[in-house]
Amino acid sequence: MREGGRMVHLADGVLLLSIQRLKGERSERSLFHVLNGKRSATTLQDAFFYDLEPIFGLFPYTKYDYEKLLVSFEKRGWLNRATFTLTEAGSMLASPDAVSQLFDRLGGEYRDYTTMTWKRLSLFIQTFMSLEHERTFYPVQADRMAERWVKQIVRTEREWKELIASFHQELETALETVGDPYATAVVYRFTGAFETGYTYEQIATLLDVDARTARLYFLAGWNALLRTVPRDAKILGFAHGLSDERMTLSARESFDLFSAGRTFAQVQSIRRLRTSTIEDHVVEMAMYLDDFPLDQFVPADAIAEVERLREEDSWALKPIFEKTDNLSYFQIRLVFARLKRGETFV
Amino acid sequence: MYEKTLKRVFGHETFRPGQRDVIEAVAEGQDVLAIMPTGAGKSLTFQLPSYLKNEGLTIIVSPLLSLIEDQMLHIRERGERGVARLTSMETLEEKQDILNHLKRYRFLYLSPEQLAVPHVTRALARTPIQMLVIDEAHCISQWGHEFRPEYARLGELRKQLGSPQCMAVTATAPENVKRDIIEKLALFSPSQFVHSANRPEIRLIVERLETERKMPRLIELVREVPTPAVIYTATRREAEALALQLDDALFYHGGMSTEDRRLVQSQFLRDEVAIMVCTSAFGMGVNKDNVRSVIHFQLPATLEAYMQEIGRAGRDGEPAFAVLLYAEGDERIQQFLIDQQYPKDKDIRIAYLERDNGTSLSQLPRLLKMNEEDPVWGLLNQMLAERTLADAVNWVKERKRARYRQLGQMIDYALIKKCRRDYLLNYFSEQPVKQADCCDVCGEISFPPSVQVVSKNVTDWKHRLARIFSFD
Repeated sequence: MREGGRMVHLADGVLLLSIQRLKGERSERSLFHVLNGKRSATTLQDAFFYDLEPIFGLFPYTKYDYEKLLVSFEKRGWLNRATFTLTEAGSMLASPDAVSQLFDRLGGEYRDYTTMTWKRLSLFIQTFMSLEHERTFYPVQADRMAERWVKQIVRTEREWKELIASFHQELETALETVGDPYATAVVYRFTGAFETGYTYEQIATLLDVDARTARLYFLAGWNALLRTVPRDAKILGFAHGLSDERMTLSARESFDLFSAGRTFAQVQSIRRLRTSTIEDHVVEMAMYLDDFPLDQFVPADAIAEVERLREEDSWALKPIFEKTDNLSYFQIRLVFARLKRGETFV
Repeated sequence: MYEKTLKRVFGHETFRPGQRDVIEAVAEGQDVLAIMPTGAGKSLTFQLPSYLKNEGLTIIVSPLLSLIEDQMLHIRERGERGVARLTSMETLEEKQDILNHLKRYRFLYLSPEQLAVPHVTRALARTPIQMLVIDEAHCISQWGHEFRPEYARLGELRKQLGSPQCMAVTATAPENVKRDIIEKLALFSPSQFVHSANRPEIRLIVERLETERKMPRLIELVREVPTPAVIYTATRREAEALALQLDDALFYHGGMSTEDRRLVQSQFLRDEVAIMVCTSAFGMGVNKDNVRSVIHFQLPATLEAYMQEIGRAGRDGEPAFAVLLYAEGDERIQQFLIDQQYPKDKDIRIAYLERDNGTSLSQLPRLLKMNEEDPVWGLLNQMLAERTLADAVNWVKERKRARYRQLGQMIDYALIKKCRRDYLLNYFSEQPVKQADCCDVCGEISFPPSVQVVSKNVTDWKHRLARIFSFD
C-alpha cells in the first residue's frame, strides 16, 4: 500500500468535479448537504440542477471532516473558498474523463435502496453459505433491518441451491458488462463461508488506488450492477419493498392528491402544510416526473420569457426574478426544472 | 448435576479451573465478586446458574455495545433464544416489546444508562429476577482504569430492583478497586473468587530503544514473533500508519464504518490476516484463542489495561508472547490523553461562574467550545450538579494525579531490572511465581520458528465469485 498523502486520487477528482458543477452559484454548505444526502427541498434542487444526483448522500462527512477537506483542497491550491470555485489546477484535476465516468456511475443514494439491497444480499449469502458449509460466522452486516429481513428469508422453504446458482449467474453476467475495476471491487466485498470480504484498504491494494477511491469503485460497481441486471432478475428480490424513487415520501403524497384531481388549495388544506411546503412538492414533481403540467402553474408566455432570459449554463434564480415582473421564485424554479429536463418552450 | 447442565447446554465436558466454585456460590444464592482473567470463562459462570434454578430473569449490565453484541451472538449460536438486549440500537417499539414480554427471556443484556431509565427500572422491578450481573465491574471504581460515571448509580438501581442476588465480574481489580465494587454495589458479605492474574503461558518482554528505532524494530519483530498477532497503539492515526508499513496487517479502530470493522474482525478470527494493528477499541469481547503475540507499540495508561490487552494472547493455553516497545518520552502521549479526559481548570471556573450568573446549562457547551457529546462535558455537567467550585477543581487535580501515578507504574514496568511477572503480580497483591520461560529479565526469551497459519487467496474476480457461491 502506498501513502496517500500528497498524491492525487480519483476520489479527490470526484469531489472537485462536484464543486466545479456548482459553478460558484451555491455555497459550501449547499454541497455539504448534498454529500450528506439531506432530503430537503433546497438540497434536492441543488443536486438536480447542478448534476450532483450521482453523489447525493454518498459522502456522509461530519462538519469537522468537511471543513478539513476544504482546507486541504485550498492548501493544495485547487480551491478558492471565497467564491467556492476551482482554481485552474483544481479544474485540471476535475476534467479527466475517468473522473466524470466514475462520478456519473455512482448513482446516488435516495431511499437507502442501493445500500439496503447490498446489505441484504451480502448478509444473506454469508449466512446461507455458512450454514450450508456448517461454518460458524461473524455477520458482516450489523444493520437490524437487514438482519431481520435475512432471518425471515433464510427460514422459508425454497429451492435455494438453484436460486443461489441463478444469483451467481446474474451477478457474473452483469459484472462482465460493468467491467473492471468495478467488478473486482464488488466481488471482493462479498463474504462467503470460507473467505471474508475485503476492507476498502485491501481492495485499494488490489486495484492500486487509495481506499477512498476503492470505496467509490465499489459504490459505482454495485449501482451499475443493479441497473444492468434485467428487470426480471431473481437477484432483484433483494430489493423487495424498497423504492429508489428520488421524490420524497411527502411530495409523493401531495402528488397522489394532485393526481386524484385536487387543486393546490385543496391539497394544502388536506395535508395541513404551509404554502411553501406544497410549492416545494410541486417543484419536486417538476424535477422528477416525465410529464408535468407546467402551464397550470405558469402562463405560457412567461415560460418562454424565462427560457429566453436564462443565461446559458446558469441556474441562478435571482437574475430572472429581477428581470421579470409577475413571476415568483416558485414559478421560475418550475420552468427551470423542465428546462433542465431538456424541454424547450421558445 | 452441574456437569450434566454444562454438557447439555454448553456442550463442554469439564469446567475450566475455578468456574465450578463460582457457580456453586451463585447457586447457593450468595452475592459474588469474581475476578477472573480474560479467557477464563466468566460468562459461563453467570449463565449456567440460570439453567440450574430457572427462577427468573438474569440481567447483565455491560458497558459496551460490542461486548453485548458479542455475548449475545455466542448465546444464540448455541441455540438459546431467550436472550434480548436494551441498548441505544433498539427502537422504542422494540424496547417496549421486550419489556412487555420479559417472561420470554432468560437473559437480558443492557447498558447502565438503559437500566437507569425509570420505566425500564420499574418494568424490571415487577418481574422475577434471578440475578443481577455487573460485567466489567471495575468500571464502578474511580480508581479503576476505566471509570464510567454511569456505573456509579448501579448500587441504587439494584435496590430499586428489590436487591436481587448480585454478581460482579471483572478481569482485573487491585485491592482498592475491589473494595469500591463491594461497597458501591452493597454486596452483602460476598463470596470472593480471585483467580490469579498470572498467565503462565505468556512470556513477558520489554525492549527499550530510541524513538527512531521503534518503527524499524517493529517491522523486524512482526517477522520474528509467532502470529496471529495484535499490535496495540495509542491513536487511530498511528494504527493506520503502522498497518500501512507492515506486511499482512490490517488496522482496526473506532472511527471505521461498521461493515469494515466487521470485515477486519472476521478476517482476523478466521486467520485470513496475520496482524491486527489497533487502538484499545479492539479486543473487548473478541474470542480468538490462538493469538500468539501481543505487541505494544505504545504504553497503555495503566497496568490493568496492559494485563487486559496482553491477556488476549494464548487463550488456548499454548505459549504466547507479550512485547512492549518502550522509548523514553513515550509516556507523553498517554499524559496528553489523560489530560484530554478532564475539563481544564479554566473551563471549570468559567462554567461555575456562568452558571452562578444565571446562564442556562444548555448554553454552556457552546460557550466553552465543547461538543455536547463530549464525555468531558458530561463530567463537567455532573460536577456542576454535585460539587462546589473548589471541590471540583480539587477533584480533577486528584483524579489526574492518580492517573499519572498509574501511568508511572506502567513506566516502571518497562524500566525495572527485576522479574516483570513478579512486578505485575505484586501490583495485584499476589505472591510471586517461579516459572521457566518467564520474562526477559529472568532469562532470554526466544521466539519459536514461525508457522504460517494465515492463508491468502487473491485471484481474479470470477474465481473469487465462484468460490463464494460454491457448494463444494
